[in-house]
Amino acid sequence: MNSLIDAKVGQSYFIQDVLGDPGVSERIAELGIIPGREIIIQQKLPFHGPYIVKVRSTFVSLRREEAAIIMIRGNE
Amino acid sequence: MKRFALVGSPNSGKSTLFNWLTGRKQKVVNYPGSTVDIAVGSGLSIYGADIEFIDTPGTYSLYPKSQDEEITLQALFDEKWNLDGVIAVLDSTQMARQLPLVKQLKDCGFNVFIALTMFDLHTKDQSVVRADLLEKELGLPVFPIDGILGGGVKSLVSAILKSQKNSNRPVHPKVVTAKDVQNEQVRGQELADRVAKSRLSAHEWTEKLDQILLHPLMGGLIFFVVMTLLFSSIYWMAAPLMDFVDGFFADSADWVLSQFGNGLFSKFISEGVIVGMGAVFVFVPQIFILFVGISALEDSGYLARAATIVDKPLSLLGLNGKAFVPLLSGFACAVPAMMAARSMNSKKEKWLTMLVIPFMTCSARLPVYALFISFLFVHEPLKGGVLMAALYLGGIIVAAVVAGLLARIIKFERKGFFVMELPLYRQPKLKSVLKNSLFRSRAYIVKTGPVILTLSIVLWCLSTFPNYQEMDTHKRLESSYIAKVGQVIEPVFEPMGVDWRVGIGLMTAFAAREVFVSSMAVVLNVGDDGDEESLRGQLISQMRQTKFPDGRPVFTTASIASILVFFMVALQCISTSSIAWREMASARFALGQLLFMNVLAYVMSVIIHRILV
Repeated sequence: MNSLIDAKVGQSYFIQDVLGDPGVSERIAELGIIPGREIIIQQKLPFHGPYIVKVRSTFVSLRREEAAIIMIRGNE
Repeated sequence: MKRFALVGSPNSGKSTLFNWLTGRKQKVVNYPGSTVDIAVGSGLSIYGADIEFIDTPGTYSLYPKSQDEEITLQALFDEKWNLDGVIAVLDSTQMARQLPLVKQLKDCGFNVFIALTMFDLHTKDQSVVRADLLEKELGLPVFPIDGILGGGVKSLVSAILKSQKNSNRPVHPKVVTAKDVQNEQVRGQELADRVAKSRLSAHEWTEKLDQILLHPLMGGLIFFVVMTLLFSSIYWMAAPLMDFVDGFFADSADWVLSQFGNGLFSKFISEGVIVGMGAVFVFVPQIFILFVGISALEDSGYLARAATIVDKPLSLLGLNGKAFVPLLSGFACAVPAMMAARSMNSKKEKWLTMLVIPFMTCSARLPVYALFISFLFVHEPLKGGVLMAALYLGGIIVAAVVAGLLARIIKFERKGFFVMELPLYRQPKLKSVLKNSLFRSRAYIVKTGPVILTLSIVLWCLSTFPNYQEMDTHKRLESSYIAKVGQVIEPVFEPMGVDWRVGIGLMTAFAAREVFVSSMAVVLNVGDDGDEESLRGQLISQMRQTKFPDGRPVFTTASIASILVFFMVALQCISTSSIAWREMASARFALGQLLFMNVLAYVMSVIIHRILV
C-alpha cells in the first residue's frame, strides 16, 4: 500500500486508510479526509514542504509527515 | 434573560452572524480559569426581549485539539453561563464536513438552532439547498442566513425567544476514536447529499487562484510582495495619524500648563499624566492598521495559504506554519500576538512561539529606532531606511537562531502536526474586518495602557522630587532621586558604552520600550524651553552635546549600535511578561524568558560595542 507521498500532482487516488496518532488522524478526518474518498494533490511546495490536497469540496494543506500516514491506491 | 452560545467551525461565518445579532454592544469576558477572552454581546434592541450571545472560538468538533477549542467546550458546559441553547453555525458550502459538529451538539442534549450561512457562494442556477429537508432530517430548526444583507437573522431570533429551555442538563460528549470521527463524516456526507446539490463558482476559482498563489515558485514570490506591501503600508498610512495623536497630547499638555500655571499639580497632570497617556495612544493607529491588514488577509482566505508557505522554513526552526499569525501580529504588539498563539496544538511549538514572539519588532521599538536613525542619518533617508530594515531583519534572525537551537536542545514528548483547512477565497467584509481589528487593538490598550501610564507617572515623580521647588530644571534633575539611582547603576551600563543618563532611559524602558524616548527627554532636560522646534529635534541637538565627565561624547556610532542591538533583542515590556505568565500558566516561563532575552541583549550589545569602539 502506498502513502500520499508516492502520489503524483494532479492525479486522483482513493484513500484507503489514515494511520497515526489519534489527535492527528481525528483532525484529518474532521477535514473530510476519510477512507473511501477520492483525493487529488493540487500542489507540492518545494523542499519537501506542505502538500495541498483536495477532497470533495475541501482544500487542505498538510505536511509531508502527515501525507505519509494517508494510505492510498490508484484510481484507474 | 436568555443566553445562547454560537458554535461553529473556523471560517463558517460565525463572526459575521455574531455581528448581525449583537451590533456594537459587546463586552469581552476574560474566561475563568484561562486567559481566553470571549466576546459576549446583547442582542440588538430591534429584536425586543433581553437576550445575550456568546461567541466561542471556532472548532471542528467537540473533541478539542488546541487550547482555544478546549475553551469552546468549557464555555458550553460552564454553569456560570447557564445556556438556554446553542446556535450551530453551518456553512452551506461545507455541510457534509460540518454536520458532525451539529450532531455532536444535539447528542449532548443542547437546544440547537441551526444558522445556515454562505449562501452567496452558491451559483444560483446550479445549486439547491433544501433547508426544509435538512430540518426534517435533523429534527432541528434551520434558518438560512444571508451574510451580506443579514436576512433570516430576525426569524432566527424570534424562534429563539419562543423556545423553551431543555429541562435536562446537557452531558459531555463521549470519548471517540479516529474511526468514530470517520463514521461521523460518512453520515454527514450522506445527509448533505440528500438535502443539497451544489456547484460552487467560488470553488472553481479558488482552485485556479491557488494554482498561482501556492505555485512552488510564484507562491513564495507573491508572499514576499504581499508582506512587503503590508508592512510598508503601515508606515505611510499610520504616520500622519500618529503625528496627529502625538500633536494632540502635546498640545493638551501645553494647554494645561498655560491654563493652570507652573504649579506642581498642573505639571503633574501635564508632564506626568497627559504625556503618559500620549505614550499609550500614539501606537494605536499603527497597531490598528496592521491588524486591519491581517484581518483582511485572514477573511480573504490568504492567511491560511501564507501559513502553508512558511510552514517549511518555520518547521526547520522547530516551529509550525500555525505560528505565522502570532508572529506576524508580534510586529504590531506582543500582547495580542501571544494571545493568538492559543490556536497552536503542540506544546513544544507553542512554547517556542511564545518565546520568540517578543523578538519581532513591535511598534514600541519604532520611536527608539526612529530617534537614533534621525540622529545618525539627518539628511539621508535612504540609509535610514536600510538601517530600519536591518533592525527588523535582525530581530527575525535572532528569533530564528534562538528557536532553531532550543528546538534541538529541549526535548518535548509530543511532536506537533500541520493540517490546515484552506478556506474558499472570498471578499473580506469591511465591517467584520474593522470589528476584528478593534477587538485585537483593545488588548494593547487595556493590557499595556495602565502599566505605561503608571510608570510614566512614577518616572515623573522620581525626576521631580525631592527638590521640586528648584526652578532650574537641570539642577532639579541632577539632585533628583532618579539621578541617584542612575549613578548607582552606572557600572552596569558602562560596558555598553553609555553613561548613567542612558542607563536611566534603558531602565525605564522596562515599563515599555517607547518610554525610553520620553525618559531621554527628561534626563537630557529637553522640553521646557518652549521654542518652535519639534520635541525630537530638540532631543537630538541635546544628544549631540551630551558628554561624559571627561569630555567624550556619549552618543557615538559605537554606543548607538550597542543601544540599538539592546533594544532589538531585549524584552523590555512588563505587559508582555504578564501575558506570557498567564497564557503559559507558568511564572517560570515568564521569568525565564525575561531573564534570557535581557541577558542575551546585554551580552550582544556589549560585544557590538567592543567591536566598534
